Order: sequence, then structure tokens, then C-alpha cells
Amino acid sequence: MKRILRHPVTNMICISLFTSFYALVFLATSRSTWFVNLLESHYANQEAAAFWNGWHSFLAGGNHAYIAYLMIALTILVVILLMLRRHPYDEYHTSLLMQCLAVAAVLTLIAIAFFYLVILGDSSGFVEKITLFIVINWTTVVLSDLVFVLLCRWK
Amino acid sequence: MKNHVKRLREELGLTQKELGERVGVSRQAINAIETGKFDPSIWLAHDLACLFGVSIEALFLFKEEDRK
Repeated sequence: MKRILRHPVTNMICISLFTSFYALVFLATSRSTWFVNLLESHYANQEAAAFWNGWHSFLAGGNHAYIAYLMIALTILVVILLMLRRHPYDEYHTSLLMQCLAVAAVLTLIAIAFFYLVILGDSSGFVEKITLFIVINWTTVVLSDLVFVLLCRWK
Repeated sequence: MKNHVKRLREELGLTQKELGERVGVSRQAINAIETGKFDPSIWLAHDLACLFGVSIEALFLFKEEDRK
């Protein structure tokens, strides 16, 4: 695995694929009435209803396309910084990358557990909750990668 | 892991960047080794020891409490 991670191209490909998938889904659903019909309009948990109603309105208005644009912009920034790199990563950088991936994995597991509890507490608004989970997960992975790329600037 | 990399590097009059270039790693890697934040692989430790003309055991201080 360290041999694969040594090359910045691996990082570029993985982050590009990861972002492309979610960006395509977000952009395709932002203009889809089918997606709006999937959204929940009534929330059983009235205490959290204000937050979920706001998120519901945000998604129903197709505004999650802007999240996709932001993620694409961040990913392009990461890819450009990686392309400017002239040398493969050394063992220290590979070690750092594995630590960043481990942090992203731990945050993802925590987010999965948290959202599982949220859904168990109130199963309404499933699409909204999963979409929020994806946004948080996507953000943590891309930001972890950006932090790594900035830490490893080697001229 | 504590080591004598910085002292031996300075005795040779090398910067961290120059030492890194000689053993094929970045200046950041050398800095991380010198400050004990990163333990090099066996081959990198070997290359450093050869460059300084000492054994690995003389270059890196192996202490039981540092064992991971």
C-alpha cells in the first residue's frame, strides 16, 4: 500500500473519483423533481424540526449544487497542488498521508454512528439526513487531503 | 526515537536539505527524524548510518521505553 501511496497521482485519482461521484449525484438531483418528491415534509421530532426544515428547504431549492461546486473547486485546488509536485512522496510523507487517511476514516465512522442514532431517533427525513452525512463526510475527506498536501509541500 | 543525526549532520556541515538530498528524502523527513517525531525505515536508517560512517546502533538510541 505504501508503494501505491508514494505517487501523488494515486492521491489525485482517488480524490477526483470520490468528488466526481458525489458531485454528479448532487448536480443531477439539484434540478430533479423526483428528488424533491423524495424529501420529507413533516418531521416527527419537533425539537429538531426547525433545523431539518431549513435543510429540507435548502435541498428542495436545488442549492446543494453549490455544495458540489465548492467541493469541485477544493478538489481542483488539491489536484493542482499535487500536479505542481515534482517528486514522489518519501516515506515520511507516505506516513503522514496514512495518518490523514486514518483521521478521515475515524471521522467517517463517528459520522456513521451519529447519523445512525439520529435516524433511529426519528426515521423521518431519511434522504435529508443521508445527504447531510454525505456533505460532512465529503468535506472531512477533501479537507484532510488538502491539509496533507499543504503539509507536504516539497520544492 | 532519540538520535545523533543532527549532531553528525552539523559536524559534516550539511543543511537538512542537503542531507535529505544525499539519502533521497525531503528536508521535512530529516527534520522529523532529528526531532524524534518520525522513525525512519531500516533502509533509510542504514543509508544515514553509512553516510555518517557509524553503525545504526550508534546513530539511533534504542531504548526499551521507546519501543512501540
